[in-house]
Amino acid sequence: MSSHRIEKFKQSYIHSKPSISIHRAVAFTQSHKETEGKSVIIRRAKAFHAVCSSIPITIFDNELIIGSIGEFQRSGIVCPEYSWKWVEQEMDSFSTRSQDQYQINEGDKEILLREVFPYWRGKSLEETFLLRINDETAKLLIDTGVIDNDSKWRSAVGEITADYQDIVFKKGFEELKRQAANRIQELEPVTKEALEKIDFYKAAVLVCDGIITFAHRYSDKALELAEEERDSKRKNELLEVARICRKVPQYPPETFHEAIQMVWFTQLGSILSENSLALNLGRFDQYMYPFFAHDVKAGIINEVQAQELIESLWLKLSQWVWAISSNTAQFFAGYNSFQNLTIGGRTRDGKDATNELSYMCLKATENVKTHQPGLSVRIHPDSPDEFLLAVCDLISVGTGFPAVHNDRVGSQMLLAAGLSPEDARDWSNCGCVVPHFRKVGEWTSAVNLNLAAAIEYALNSGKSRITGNVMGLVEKEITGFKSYEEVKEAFLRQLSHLIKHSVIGTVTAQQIHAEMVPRPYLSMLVDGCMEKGVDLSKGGAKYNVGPVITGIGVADVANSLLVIKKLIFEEKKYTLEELGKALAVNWTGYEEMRKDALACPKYGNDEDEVDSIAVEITDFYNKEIKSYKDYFGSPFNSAFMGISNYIPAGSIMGATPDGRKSMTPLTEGVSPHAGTDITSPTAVMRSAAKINHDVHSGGTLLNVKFSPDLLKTQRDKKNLASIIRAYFSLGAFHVQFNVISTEILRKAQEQPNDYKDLLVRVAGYSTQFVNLSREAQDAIIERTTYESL
Amino acid sequence: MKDSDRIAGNVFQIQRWSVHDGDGIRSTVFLKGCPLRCKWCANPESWNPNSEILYFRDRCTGCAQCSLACNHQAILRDGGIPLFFAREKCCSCGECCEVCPNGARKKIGALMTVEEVIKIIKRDSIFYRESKGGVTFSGGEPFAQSEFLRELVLACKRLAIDTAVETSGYFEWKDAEDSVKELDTVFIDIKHMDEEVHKRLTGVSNRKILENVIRISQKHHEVIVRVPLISGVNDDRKNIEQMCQFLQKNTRIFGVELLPYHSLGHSKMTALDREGWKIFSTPDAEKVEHIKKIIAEYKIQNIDFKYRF
Repeated sequence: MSSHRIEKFKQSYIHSKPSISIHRAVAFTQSHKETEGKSVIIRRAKAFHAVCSSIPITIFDNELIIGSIGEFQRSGIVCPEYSWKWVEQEMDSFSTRSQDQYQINEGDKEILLREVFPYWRGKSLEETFLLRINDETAKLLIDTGVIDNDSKWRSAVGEITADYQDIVFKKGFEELKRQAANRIQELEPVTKEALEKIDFYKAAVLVCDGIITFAHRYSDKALELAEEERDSKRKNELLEVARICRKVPQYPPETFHEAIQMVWFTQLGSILSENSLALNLGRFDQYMYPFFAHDVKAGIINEVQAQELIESLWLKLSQWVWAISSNTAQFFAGYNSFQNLTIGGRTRDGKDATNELSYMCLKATENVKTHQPGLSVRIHPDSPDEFLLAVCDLISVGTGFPAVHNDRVGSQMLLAAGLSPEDARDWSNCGCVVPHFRKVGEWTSAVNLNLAAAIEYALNSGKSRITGNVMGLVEKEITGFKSYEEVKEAFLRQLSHLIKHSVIGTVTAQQIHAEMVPRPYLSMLVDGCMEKGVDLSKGGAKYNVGPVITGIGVADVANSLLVIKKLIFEEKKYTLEELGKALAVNWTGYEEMRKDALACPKYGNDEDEVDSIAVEITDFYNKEIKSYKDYFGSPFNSAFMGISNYIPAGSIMGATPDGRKSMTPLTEGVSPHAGTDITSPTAVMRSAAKINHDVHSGGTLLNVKFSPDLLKTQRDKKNLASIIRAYFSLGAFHVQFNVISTEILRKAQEQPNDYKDLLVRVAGYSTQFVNLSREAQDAIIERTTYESL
Repeated sequence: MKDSDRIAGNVFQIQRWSVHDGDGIRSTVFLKGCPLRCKWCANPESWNPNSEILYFRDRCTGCAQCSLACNHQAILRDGGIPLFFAREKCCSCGECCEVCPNGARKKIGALMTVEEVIKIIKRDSIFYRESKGGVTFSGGEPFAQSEFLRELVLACKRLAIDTAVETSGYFEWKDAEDSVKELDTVFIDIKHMDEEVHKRLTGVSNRKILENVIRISQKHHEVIVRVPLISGVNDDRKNIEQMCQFLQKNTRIFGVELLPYHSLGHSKMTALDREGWKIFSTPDAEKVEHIKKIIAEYKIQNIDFKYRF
């Protein structure tokens, strides 16, 4: 149970509507109007400073951790410098659209139309990208669902983890500012590099000053409220909060409360600087532990108070609403902002790292049931059984949290990406299931690639079945294939083609990011940038890891190829021509063929016949992707994770040979296709573990849905712990569980108001079920539920 | 391959991720054929030692694909829906099941060798190891296929896989002796203490069963007596006390597990064209608790595998 304060705060949070706050956009734009002619990085730093100095300061009732990006309890902001057209086009339907609604008031719309959008016309990242991208790539990349990277040109990148351990908590922004100022003194503007460095350090001074100013404004506001406050207890709280905000993030924290407030200010700075997803919190239980241990020992805080502060942070993290276009919302459903927080795992020298805070984080998520942070755990063979059981307890509550990761495979993935062994042991999650390290600059979700499109183009002369347009490589007629191998080769050719254009889309975006949207604030949080004097967007981080291209629909493609192999070429029950006709008419009149296709072995049932195709495809995908290098010379990386992208990716695909009907969802990550895993959860895990997880440095995702009946008793939870350990012994990376009965989900569809806090796992993350579109809700209900046997 | 691996038996299901029939995560192997005819049976498709066809008439659309596929004229098109199924002509080849578009026909049982069964069992070895689980042989009456069962148990033993058996207790001791020595856990049913009632409800006397309970408990330390608890049939104080007295006096069993009746077997009874089944009722939770108390009064342990770990 949460404290009364948290419970009250949670209720008011649940019942407040996500609303757009325009102040960040207005201040950022106004500043840019005043800085024409200066270097891009200075302009962006000044704009950040202007935002910190001017947006409204809002302290909500009874808050212990303060600071907000907007005046609403659930605020979203817009960043016109990345893209503004969708806001202009869509803001009238923000409050009525099917996925992720927002409120926005009429006066604010007026201001955006008058003062903000006109300035950015022709200047935004989106417009520049669309000008620069070549036509051939654009045909596949722009709003098609075939290959999709719109989150890399309609919004900022995010995908960083602030380095609390070595930078933020150690130095504080005052020290960072001082270092930058010193470097400016040391540099002579006599070379190209020195000129750029001087600008970088000047920008550094501005952003450090900006975030300090922001905190001081909160301190002043807290003092002001304290003066008016009649309740003496709250008055003292406000005075303490005022003291803390005067101290952090300017100076290093010394207490648990100060440290948590510093985490939140650091996070607020990140959000205000670029409003991007996957601004991760890293290994919270590790960097917070020294403060916790010290304060408890010194009697400054007890466990109950620490728990309340953690839960306060969870609520703050959930207050920020990531404002996105309706198209993007199809891919990233549920107001999710992917602020991942990782607990457990091993220390840098390989010992078990679990501590009291690890358990308290689990408890916080159980208590507040918010969709943020994205709670991830790292499990290794020596993780305490009681920790894994506590994880299973939280899973059984049905929030979809935590996502459970194989500690060792995460390290292997990062070793494969070039990190040192100590750093590879120190990993944390980025976004949903990407193993990541805080000293790494990386695009962890650069492109979503629709694998099923490669099958469609191979079997349909390079054309889309839905539109009839030539999209892939021109391919011979379906009747021209003489063997299964020929079909497979055609599929791989089409896949390579899609990979190549994904790479083009990415490096083009990387190029304009480096030119147009340097990240001076985030560069303060990532090791390497300050030392080198090089911005994060230009490769300033200690490590640069190549962008990740995520394949969607492994199961669909493996199942489809098996049907062709088995029914057409082995059993010769049908011809390819007949199959082509059946797919063209979405199986109408070919019900018997569809039945035979559906009856073929399906990935997810521990059948080597089909699973081996999944392994072959994923290995090929990895090698092909790794053969390309990004803008900074780092090899690209593969992943099979998932946002909710398997739904829109499916909506542009015609029928597939596996028996799937036209425009229906594909499959996320390395999960089996919904409803086809009919053997057992152990069979699902064995199928998924056959894939070589360790080479896919961008992460892999398995979603298993359990009925709550299966997780009632301690024995059930112990069994769950056992299958997690077994799955990880097999070399797999990640598994998450949805523990919700279909009956409850149906009820929630009918009476959303009664189920506002019902969390479900969408794919790489959890969100409120009632916030999902009907389609997404139906897709979740359809996933196989294992009833108690 | 050893000769013993080629020994075959009739198996009607191998259920992976079985979590209540013994410790940990298990695979349950259902062997076909049972000498009992319990009126509440949950798996009536297990009775016949040979393969057979379930015909779910409510799913039949009368398309007659099955009739065309049948080489034995066992399915007749007489204009009505469902079709007429002359079961006595059926050889259980399953051709009709392959073609049915509506899942109305299902073949139950297949001859499998020890090697084939073990191959499936081994797939989940890692899950058994992590959960201290294993394999449970169920039925039907597993000891009715005594040689097949013995070889399966021995094969598991060689792989260090934990084994359990669920038996009706109705078997010849000589058929079970070798397997019992090797099995890690034995679940044995006592359905009723009164011989006449037992005969009426299951078709056989309980005398042999009770003798086997005594024998097994002398040879084996991990023996659990299971009672399918059926309201108004065997949940009266008298029957339970008689059972407890019997166990106390004659055996050193490990414990008793009560399994409240469920009615999942009914649709299968109809699909098998069997008569004589009845809908019984499940004793309520209060009643079950009451019975557990009686058992505990006799210093016999109540066991519930839903909770045990």
